[in-house]
Formats: sequence, C-alpha cells, structure tokens
Amino acid sequence: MAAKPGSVPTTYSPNLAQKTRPPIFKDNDLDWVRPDGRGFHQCRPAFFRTGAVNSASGSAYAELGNTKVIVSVFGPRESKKAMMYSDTGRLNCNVSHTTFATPVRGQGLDHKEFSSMLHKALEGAIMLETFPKTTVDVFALVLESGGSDLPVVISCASLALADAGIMMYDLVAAVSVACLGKNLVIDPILEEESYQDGSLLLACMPSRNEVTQLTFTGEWSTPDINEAMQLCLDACSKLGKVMRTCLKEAASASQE
Amino acid sequence: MGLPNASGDLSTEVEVDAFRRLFPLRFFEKHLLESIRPDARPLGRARDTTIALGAVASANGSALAKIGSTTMLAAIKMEVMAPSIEIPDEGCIAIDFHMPPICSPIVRPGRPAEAAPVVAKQLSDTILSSGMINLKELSLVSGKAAWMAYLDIYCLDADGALFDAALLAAVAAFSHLEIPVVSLNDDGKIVLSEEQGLSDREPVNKEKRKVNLGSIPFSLTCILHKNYILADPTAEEESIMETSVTVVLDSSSQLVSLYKPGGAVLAYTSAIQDCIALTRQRVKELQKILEEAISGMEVD
Amino acid sequence: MAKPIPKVGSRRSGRSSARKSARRIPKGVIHVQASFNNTIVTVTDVRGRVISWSSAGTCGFKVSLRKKSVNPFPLNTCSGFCCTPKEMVGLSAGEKHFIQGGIAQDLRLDGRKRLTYRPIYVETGIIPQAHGSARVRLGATDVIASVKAELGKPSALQPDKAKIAIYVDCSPTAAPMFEGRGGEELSTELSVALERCLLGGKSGAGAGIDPTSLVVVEGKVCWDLYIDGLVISSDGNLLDALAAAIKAALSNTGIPKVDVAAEATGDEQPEVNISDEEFLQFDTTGIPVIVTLTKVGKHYIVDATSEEESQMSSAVSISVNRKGHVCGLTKRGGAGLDPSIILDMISVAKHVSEQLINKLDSEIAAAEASEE
Repeated sequence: MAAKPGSVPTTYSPNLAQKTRPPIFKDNDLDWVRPDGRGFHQCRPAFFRTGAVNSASGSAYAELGNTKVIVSVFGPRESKKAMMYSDTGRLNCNVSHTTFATPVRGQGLDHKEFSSMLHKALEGAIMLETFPKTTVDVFALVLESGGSDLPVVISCASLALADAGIMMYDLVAAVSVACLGKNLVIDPILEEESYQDGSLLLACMPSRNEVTQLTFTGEWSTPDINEAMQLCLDACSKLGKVMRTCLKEAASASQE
Repeated sequence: MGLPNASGDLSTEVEVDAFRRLFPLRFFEKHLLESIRPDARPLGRARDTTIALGAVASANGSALAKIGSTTMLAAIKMEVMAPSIEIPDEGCIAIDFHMPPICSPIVRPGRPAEAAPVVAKQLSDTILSSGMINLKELSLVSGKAAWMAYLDIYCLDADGALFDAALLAAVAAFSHLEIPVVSLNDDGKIVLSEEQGLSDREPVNKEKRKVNLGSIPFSLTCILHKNYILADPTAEEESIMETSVTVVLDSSSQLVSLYKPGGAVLAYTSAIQDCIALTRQRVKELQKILEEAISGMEVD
Repeated sequence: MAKPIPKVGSRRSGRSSARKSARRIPKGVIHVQASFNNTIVTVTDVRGRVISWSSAGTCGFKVSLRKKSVNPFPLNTCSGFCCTPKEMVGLSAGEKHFIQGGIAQDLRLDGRKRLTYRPIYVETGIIPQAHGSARVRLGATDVIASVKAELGKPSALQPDKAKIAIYVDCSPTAAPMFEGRGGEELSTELSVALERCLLGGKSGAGAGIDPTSLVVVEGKVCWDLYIDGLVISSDGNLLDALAAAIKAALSNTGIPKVDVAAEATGDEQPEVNISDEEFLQFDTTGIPVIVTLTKVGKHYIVDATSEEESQMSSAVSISVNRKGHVCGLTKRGGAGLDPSIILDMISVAKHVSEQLINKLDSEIAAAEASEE
C-alpha cells in the first residue's frame, strides 16, 4: 500500500537518541579526545566550491566534515511589488534543512532564526547601495547537518555572493566555539553541540578585521570571552584564505 | 514578437545571445533545421548523466543524480511503524519531492513550485506500480512492526527533465539502501542491535539487509515540436516548446507508464513509438551508469 | 510616444475639473521639500506641472525640534530593531545631525548622558489569571510580561529538565506596521534573543532560570513555563525592557506546590495533588538583565529611543547576571565592529548592569510591596 498523505501512521526511528553526556567532562580531563580525533583548537578541513547550481546567478557548496550546505544567490532582481521604494538594495535570506539533514527525520521547514542571523551576518559586508531598487535573494539548504551549521552557511553564502558578482567589502567567514566544561572547542560537531555549556559564534570580514555577527549563549567570564574571540578570529582568517583560494581557482579555470 | 517578419533579417544583424532572447522559438527552429541543438547535441541524445551513491551520511540510503546540470539528491530514512490491520505483513514507502528555493529562480520561499506536486505524484505512482520493491520485504514482525521508508528527493538544480533525474536518483538511493540490523527490546520497541547492547539477542531481520530490486524503472522525457522529437530537454527548451511525453520502461523494456500532459502538439502513434524507441536506448545507458556506480561503491 | 497629459481644468477636458478622480495620470513625480520648520509635498506629472500639493503646516503639524514634540510625519516605521537604520523615515537631516551631535557631546535629546537609563517603572501582578506578570515602562516604551506554568512531561531526551518557552508579540497598537504579519520578524528576533540570554547553553549551564528546579518527578512530571511578552508601545530599547519585565514577572510568580499522591510504576504517570494555598517562589537573583549598547557615530549609548536607534550603525545586547558574568550576547545592525570595541562594550555593559540590577531590584521590591 502506498502511504496516503494525511493518513501516514506514526513512526519512530530505531535509533534511540538517548545520548548522555560522557562522564569524562565532569572532571577536567585534559586527555579527553574529541569524537573525530581533532585537537581542541583544530577546525575540520573545509571544502568549498563555487558554481554548484547553474540556474542561479551565483552559488557555492561547502562541506566541513558531515556538514554539507548549498547556497544559491539570485539577483539582483526586481523587488516584490509590495515593497516600498528604496534607494539601496535589499537582502533577503532564507535557510532551510532537508528532512534527512538531522539524525531524527525532520520536517524540512524554514529556519527563521538562522535566516535572520544569516541576514545580519552578511548585511554589513555587502555594498547595498550598488543595486538600488532591487533585491538579492540568498537561499541556503542544509543537505546534512553535522554541527556548526550556521557558521558554514554564512561562509558559504558569502562565497556564493562573490560568485554572483555582488559587490562586497570582503568575504565573511564564520566560526563557532563550544564551551565544554572548562574547555573551549572550536568548530564543534553535532554530538559536541548537543552537550555544550555555552557557545559563541563569530562572523567577520578577515581582511578588515571587523565583526559582522556575534552571539553568545551560556555563561562566560571575561578571560574566556577574550580567548574564544581570539580563537574565532584566527580561525576566520584561515578560513578566509581557503575561501579566497577557492574563488581564485574558479576564476582561473573560467579564464582558460 | 511584435515584428515577426523582421526577425529573419535581424538574425544576420544582431548578436547570437540577443537573437536567442528576442526570438527563442526561431532560434531553436533554425537549429532544428540542421538537426542539432544549441548545446551541440543531436536531437535524440540525452545529456551526460552521473550517479554518486552515499552522498548523505545521516540517511540509510542516498544518491546524487545529475543529468546535464539538473541535479537531484535522494535519501531514504528507515523508520518503524505499526502496519495497518488489513495488510499486517507489508511495509510502506512514503515518497516526497521537494523543490527548495535554491534550485531555480522561479521558486521563492513560502511559495512552492507548481511542478513539485506533479512530479511527486508521478514518482510515487511509478515507483509503487513498477513492482520494483516488494513491500512484504519491509515487514519486520508480522502485524507488529514494519519498515516505513521515507524517500525524500530534493531538486538542487532545475534544468529540465526533472522527473527523469528524480526517478534515477530515487532508484539509485534504493540500490544503495542498507537496512540496519534491529532487534526487539523489552518494551516491545524495535531498536538498533548494536547501540542498545542487544547484539547477543537474535536480530529481527538477519538476512534482509538489502532490498531486492525487481525490475527497475527508467524514464526519458521527450519534447514534441512539429515533426521533431527532442530527447531530454533543458529548462529553456521546456519553456519554449510545451508538449512533452514521458515514457517509463523497466529494465526488461516493459512499459510502466506513459505520460503526455496535453500540449499543443497532438502526437501520432508513430511519434509515440519513436519516443519509446529512444527510451529503450536510454534505459540501456542508464542501466550501465547505475551498475557502474554500484560496482564503484563495492570496490571502495 | 507618450500622449500629452491634459492640464487640470484645461478646456480640452472641461468636465474633468468637476470629476478629478476620473482622470488617470500613469506617471508622476512627488517633490518633497523638507526644512527645519515645514515639509511641503508637491505632486506633479512628468513634465513638472503641479497636480496637487500639501504642506505639513496646513495639516496641523507643529514642528519644534528643541522640544522633540512631533516629527514632520509620525514615525510609523518600527523601533529600528529590525529595519536598517537608513530606512527610517521622518527625520530631517538637521534632526539627524542634532541627535548625533548631542550624543558626541554626552548630552542627548532628553537631557540624559550616554550611559543613563530612562526612569524605569515596574508594576507587578497586573494579570490575575497568570501565575506571574509585570509591566515595565521605560519612557514611552511599554511592555508586559506574563508567566504561566502548566504541568507537563519532560522530554525523553532531557528527563531532568522542564520546558521553558519565551514568546514575544508586538501589538499593532505599538506601531501600525505590526498589524497582521508585519511584526512577525521582530517578534521572532526578540524571542530568540531573549531565549539566548535567559536560558543559557544547550546543557542548561548558565541559565537564568534553572530548568531542573521545575521538575517534580524526574522524567515524569514537571512544570513547563510559558513566558509571554507583549509590546504595547515602542520607543526603542525593547529588548532591555522585555528582559526587565520577565525578571519582574518571574519574581512575582508563585507556582503551586505539588505533592506526589501515588508513586507510579513503569510508563504510567504518577498522581499529583496541586496545592491551592502553598506557593513556591522563584529565586530570581540569578536572572540576568540585558543591556543594549547602541553605537551612534563613534560613541555608544544605553537605552536608545527609537529616534536614536534610527541613527545607529550597530548595537550589541549583552546579558549580564549579578555575578558580572556575561550570559548571552546578540549583535544587531549590519555594520561591522572591531573586536576590541566589542570587548570594550562588554566591559561597559558590565559596569552599567550593576546599577541597572540594583535599580530594577528596588523597583520590583517597591512594586511587590505596593501590590500587597
């Protein structure tokens, strides 16, 4: 029998996700290794590629570990009729997940929080005055969520904008840090994120040394904030270089 | 098209891109006269096709299929359900097709694409009626538990022939599907054998780790325009010439379904037969591509 | 190509002067002349012939910059929280300059210094049906927060934690643009920012409200908290006001005492008695306050009014608890900030938060006393 919409029986995943926090965190065990064997201050290797979607003005695909993201940029195109006149351009962001992105099957709905965070992270980097009266749409789809989704979406989106030829002051690179007990762990994976005590997300324009988006959750003391921000800034400048190389490769490939 | 008689003269004067945008139909017809298409394909040739299996780690089976630049990502997640009373020893397949806003400039968030529900219906009709999967194989404990296979297909890049690419991705995902070993725990729920420390207990599904695929359906969409038949159209071709025929054949060349949703061109039987003949060739190509993808997986 | 547009009242369209609405002008130009004293709007056709005009003076607006009474046209865009600063309409160049200049000289429009809050008024227990409620006013910004507790079951993933949901609604009375779905974006943004600042990390560390204290029987029964915020009138700094209102509402909250009547085995839910007389009070000392520093020009100010928010380049909302620890941070506004400036803002916020917490605590205590 085919499943009729509306009459789908309730199902459950055999993978009971009853993950408890590993006891190792309770005492500050410094010998503890991360699930994927990385050092505490080591990011996952990043892979970026532009031009993933042909029908878009610009697009990029990013893969960090199991986190896989596609971002398409459309426009600048005519703003919706209902919009008021504006002499600067508009930026419209939307982030959604696939139903199979998370370990438990989701609904694949829009992620409003991510959408507005992405908007804020990019807004400061784009020269909106270069495309008056029009809108640039940035749509992101998280194919697979493997932790640090939002930072990957932000970095990938700035690359897609560059691919679309939208004028920007600089690329935006984003990195997050998780606080586990007394340890700061950069670029956390999904498992680490699920038992983190606090997190910090920083998006910045590496060559201008300007922070476009910053959020904290959890309780932070001043020395921790300093350390975490420095970690993020260093990681962002490294990530920025990787993104730049990706753009250069794409440009030299198209010239040939 | 305000000045139709002028276009003939203009074709020698304006640039190719401008002519293509101003008089798309004439542009295509000029090509068709030479039996070639703007992307240098002969009329009956499909675009390059690739399949990559196992693209999504969080799913039980997944595949990425590309026909030209049309890209589809299909993934299957297996969940457990209580089967209905009428058919206690059968599982179920739920098929959904999504066109997220990233895939095409036409789709905007909050406004689903018109094509999406049409393709979704076609897909689930084809897959369920082709007999590719025996739903009895998805049963775990008769009357108590059965698999529900959630197949979700995402269009990542829409450039024509959406149904063909989606069906190919779906079929490839099923051939990559690996069913986890599960056992019954004390609460009467089905759980993964390894994670719950029940590996000593007899698994419910010892043998059935792979679904046996019966006859696999493959499809080809053709555009009918005047007397021409264009196989595997791009989005541009689809938008200009509206009559299309989709033929689905299974691996032993039996007709599974034939779909001609209206259109300006009324097809002669001979045209339909030509479409079927093209599809027959295409099925052989696709079979080979799928086999190569599967054997490539086994080597790794 | 375009046909000449007949003049209003010209002989060729003799009757049209009697029925002005019958004439259609496909294109027109609106000229706005805005000065310090008046605003004149003139509508012309493409050739510059006047079709109609109107002036703010004749509409009854009396504009006085110094007194900050009425703007040439009412500020009907939202608080500036969600819209980009330059989209704000209604301020003339002179007014903008005046606001910025004042901030640079540490003397703001209403006479405050850069780091001074507007007086805070707190009323508690204003909604009898809720378990706790409070209204907070900061100048013309007026918000209400209510707390409702319901018995529920903790999720299987976190059996020792209760569910706490924060939802903010922007009333259409606050601004015309909140009507319908207009306030949705702002509402979500405020809700998310409050959750981030009050509920701590995923493991629950650093949360202002301890979700484990609400559990009655682990894995079975707990009090789920629903915190609702309502923006009645908006004149900037909504987030700080909402956080203060939630803090006041929670200290006003009494949760009925629950006794487990019969222990249940297996999957069944235990029976509980809810007491009508005994109430548990919340410990609100750990709940942080939010200090939003709005950057205008080179300086940053606290408790910005919506006019000041319209001039902001960016703003940082920092939530600080009594111990002086940062419990959450949200950056708003597009412009980038230098990392050292953010660190400086954090230390300023910590300093300001001490005064704010003390002020708020005494206001809450006074409000509680007056209620009884």
